[in-house]
Parts: sequence; C-alpha cells; structure tokens
Amino acid sequence: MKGRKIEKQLKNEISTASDFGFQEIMERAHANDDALLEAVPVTVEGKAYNHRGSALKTILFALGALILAFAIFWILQNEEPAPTRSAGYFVIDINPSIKLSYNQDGIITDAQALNEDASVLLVDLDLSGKSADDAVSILFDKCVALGYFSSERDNNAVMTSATTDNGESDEEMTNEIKRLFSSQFSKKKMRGVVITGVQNAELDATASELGIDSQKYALILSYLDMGGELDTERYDEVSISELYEMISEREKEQKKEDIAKIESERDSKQSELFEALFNSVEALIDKIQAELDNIISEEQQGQNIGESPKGNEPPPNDKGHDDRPNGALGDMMDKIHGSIEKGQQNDNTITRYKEIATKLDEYIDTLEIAKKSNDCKSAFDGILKLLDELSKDEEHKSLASLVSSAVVEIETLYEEFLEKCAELNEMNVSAEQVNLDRLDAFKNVSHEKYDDVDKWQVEKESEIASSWYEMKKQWNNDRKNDLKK
Amino acid sequence: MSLDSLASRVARHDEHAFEELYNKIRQAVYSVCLSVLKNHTSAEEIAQDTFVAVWTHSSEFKGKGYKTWILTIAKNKSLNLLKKQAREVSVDFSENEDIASYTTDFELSFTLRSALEALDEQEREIVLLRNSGMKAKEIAIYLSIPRGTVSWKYKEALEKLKKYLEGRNERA
Repeated sequence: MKGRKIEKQLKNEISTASDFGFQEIMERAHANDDALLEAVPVTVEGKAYNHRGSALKTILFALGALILAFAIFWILQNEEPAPTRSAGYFVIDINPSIKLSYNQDGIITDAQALNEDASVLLVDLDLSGKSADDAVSILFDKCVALGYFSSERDNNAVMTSATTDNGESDEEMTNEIKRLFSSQFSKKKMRGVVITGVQNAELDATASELGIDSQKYALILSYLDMGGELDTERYDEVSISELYEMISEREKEQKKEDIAKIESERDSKQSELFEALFNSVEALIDKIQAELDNIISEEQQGQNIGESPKGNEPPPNDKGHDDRPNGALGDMMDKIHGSIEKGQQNDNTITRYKEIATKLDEYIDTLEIAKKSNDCKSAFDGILKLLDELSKDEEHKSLASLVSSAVVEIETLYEEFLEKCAELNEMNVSAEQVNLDRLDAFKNVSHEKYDDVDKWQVEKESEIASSWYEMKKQWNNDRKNDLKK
Repeated sequence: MSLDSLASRVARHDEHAFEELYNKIRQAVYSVCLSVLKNHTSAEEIAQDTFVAVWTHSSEFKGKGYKTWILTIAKNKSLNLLKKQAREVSVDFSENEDIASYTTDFELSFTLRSALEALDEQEREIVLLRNSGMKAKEIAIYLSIPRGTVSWKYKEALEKLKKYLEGRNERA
C-alpha cells in the first residue's frame, strides 16, 4: 500500500472518529458551570448573588428597552409625513442599464444599477438631487471616460424609456431624455443613436398576440434568454420595473453559477497538481533516501580498505621526503587518499541531499497549509522553483533526470491551474476595480470629431431599433475584451 | 482567526468562539488521546473532558501556544486515565494477544488499529497528529523535539506501518 494512500485513510478515519458532537460538549460544559456556581456562591452584602439570575435580569431589561425603542420608532414613523413620491423612473440602456427615479419636479431621487456594467458606471457617482439634464451630462461623460462610448465605434447607442409610478408610459419624459442624450452626442461631435424602444415587426406581432407592448415583450425575451423562467400567464401582470429587477437578479445568479463552475474546474486542476507534486516529491525523497543509503554503505566499505593490515609495518622510506612510496604501500596510500577524498565528497553529498529533502519536506508542509487556505499559488511557485533548480543539478545527474521528467508534467498542469485562477480573478473583480481599470485603459484615447452626428441619428435609428438585442450581445462581448488588450 | 486570539473569547465563554476552536482542533485532541489510550471510546471520552476543561479554565491561559496548552491537557488527562485503568484492571499484554482484546471497540479501521499496534508511543503520536492536520513545526513545539526529527520520524513510522500492513495482508 502506498504511503499516500495510508495517509489518506488515516486522515479520513481520524476526521470521522473525532467528530464527537459539539452540542454534547457544550451541555457538559454548562452543567460544569452550574455545578461550580452551586458549589461556590458569591455573596453580596449578606445575600446570595446568583450570576445567572443577574444575567437573566439584564437580558430581560435590555429586551424591554429594545421593544420600547421599536414601539417609539414605529409610532414616529406613522406620524411622519409620507416621503417624497417619485413621479416615475426612466431606464437608460447602453449596455450599462440604469434605472433613475425622479420626482414631480423632474429631479433625480435615486439611481439603481441594473447590471454589472452599470455598477461600474455608478462608482463614485451621486446623481440624487440633480436635474435630468445634469444627470445625463454626468453619465455621458463617464461613459466616454470608461470606454462605453467611443468615436472609434459606429455602434454607440442608448435606449431609454420613462414610466410613471402608475405604470404608464411617460412620453414627455422619454422624449426629454432622448433629446438630452442626442444633445450630448452633438456637443461632443460623437456619432451615436438614441432610441426609445425596440421596433421589430416580428416582435411587435407576437407582443400584440400576447396582449402586451413590444418593449415589455423584448424585456421578457431577454430574461428568458438568460435562463429565467416566467409563465405566459404572468406576462401581462408583471411590470416593466419588475422585469428590470428580475433581469438584474438573473444576471447575478448567472455570474454565481459561472464562478462556481470555474471554481470547480480550478479546484480540480489544483487537486491534480497537488497529486502530481506530492507523488513527484515523494518519489524524490525515496530516491534521496536510497542514494544516501548507497553512499553510507560505500563509505563503510571504503573505511575497511583504509585500515592497514596488522604486523605488516611498511618499510621506512629511504628518500626522507613526501613522495609517493613505491609498490603495494603506494597503492594502499592511494586507496586511503582516495577514500578520504571520497569520504569528503560523500559528506558534501549527504549534506546536500539532506538539505534538499528537508526543503522538500518544508514545501510539502506549506502546500498542505495552502490547500486549506486556498492560497496555493505561492506554495506552488516555491516548490516548482526548487524542482527547476534540481533538474539543472550537474553534480547529481540521477536526481536531475528524475526531476526533469516530473517537472514537464507538473508545469503543464500548473499552467492550466493558473489559467483558471486568472479566469476567476477576472470574474471576482469589484466594480470599483473595473472602474479604475477602464479609466486607465481609456484615458489616452483620442476622440475623432464628426460633423454629421444629427444625420447619423436619423439614418441609423430604425436599424438600431430593429436589431437592438443582437447588437447589445455583440457589444457586451466586445466590452469584455476591452481590458484584455 | 488564529487559535491564540480565540483564547480570550473562549475565556469569556463565547460559544461561537468555542465552537470554532472545537472545529479547528478536535482531530488533534482526539489523536493525542488515541495515541496514549489506544482505544476509541476512552479517547473520545477524554477528548470531550479536555474541551470541557478548556471551557472552564481558559481564563487561566496567558500568552502564546494555546494549542500546545490544550494538547498538553489532553495528554495529561489520557495518562491519568491510563494509570487509573492500570490500577483497576490488570491486563495481560502478551505478544500473541490480538489487538482486539485491548482495543475493545471495532469502529476503528484496520489501518488505524495497525498504527496503534505497529508503532511506539512517539511514532503513534507523530503519525496521528500529522494526519489530523498539524504541521511538523507545531508537532515539534508540542513534543519539544527538533522539526527535522519530526519529519524523519514520520517518514520512518509511515514506512514501518506500510511494511506492517503489507505483512498483515500477506498473512491474511
């Protein structure tokens, strides 16, 4: 049975056998506390003072205070005048999708990100209290700075629509927002199109059959496309606002699923890599041990040769200097010197091998700790660096060749593991970081100025409106690659 | 959170901290008890006693080395029980006696029982602690021996165990 298998069995068995129930321990511990308390009561001014009783009173008092505080808060809430009612909301969809609520005066009261790109867009932005004009201007500039709008592209586009709090279309606000965005494109001399809805004959026809408007149907299709589920019976009753929320939630779920999948792939790669590393290192340590045994055994034989035979005293050297004596004595001296040199070499080799074995041992410990903390990369880097050094060890060629073949296999696995780690890092990066990365990536982009912006809007509007969702998919894919350039 | 920083919370009878401590070191505590007592039931009982003692006496612990302190409690309690059992019951430890006669439970796996039979006390402790998640350095501090000695002894003990298991398989 291999060493690793034995260890695995022992680990599993100890883990199972040592699970003797925390609850039982807690009960015994509390019983112990009670026993101690009864044994040694603390008295205060002649009266027995029960710690637990006192604690209970404190808890009850705190609870009472909390209930009272909540009651006061509830009363005050009901007495307060109703909060400012927002007159409605409009959604802008670039791909960053943002829902902006506004009050009866058209002042922005809230900005909500409906997808991840929108979270990036809204980093460090506070649009509350701004007029629609100012909010659109700020958002437009930020989109340019983050590379969501670019004069190098011909697919800059915004879709917007406004809805009142009653769920009715607010055409006045819709047109106003469209005008504001178009005005920004004009001012910046950037080609771009603003639409107020999707116009697709097929889509319109199906929506009409279902008794809902095209915009709602387009949103439902987006939601279903993302793997969401919605019964046909609910198409009519679900509001546009709810659909945006559902799409936003579905995007988060999808991301979690994608992350889980990549984590699983990474963990699988990590396990393979651990297995390969452990096997290689175990083989290496075995090899070192065998080499050490050989060296020690040879050394012992060498020492036997070095002893001079009893009663055979060598004749004195007549020449009176340190020249090598002739004959059998000279041969014996050669063997002794050779044995001493070999002994010194062996000492160095033994020391070196022991150092390597100890270092490998330490790295294995590091790997075991790293495995538990999910922080494996630095441990892998260390052990691969050591194996790489060993594979170039000219002095110990048998070791070197063993390591070389192992390193090739391990390096392939390591590359695959690093790819998965990188994928995960990309997916787990925060909106704030993406914001910074995109600002940095697009800070030196120069914007060509166009004089035909208004003409562009007129010519492209229906094309964009009819192919909005296909265009958006392509646009999304392009944006994902922005930071990989 | 490190074990040393849990000590003060456990001393204040924070149950969450205590549960966290339990989850982190139950395997090591059990391993120490098992290596001394060589019996699952007794090891389980003493391990539980150890945790109760930790709950009661954590306020007395000062400084660093909380884990070593806890494992020392486990060992002392295990040795005390062993002495008590030796006084109460005399057992014939003849060579031919099957391991089942002094490990009265049959819940332990063949591999684990072999570890108890084939290895001496220190080897048992090192092998079980190593496979309960403790680092060689931590074991070295607990046993007051050099770290390198832990590594080599572990390797030798595993080799011994491997040969013992192979021998048992052949005989079977």
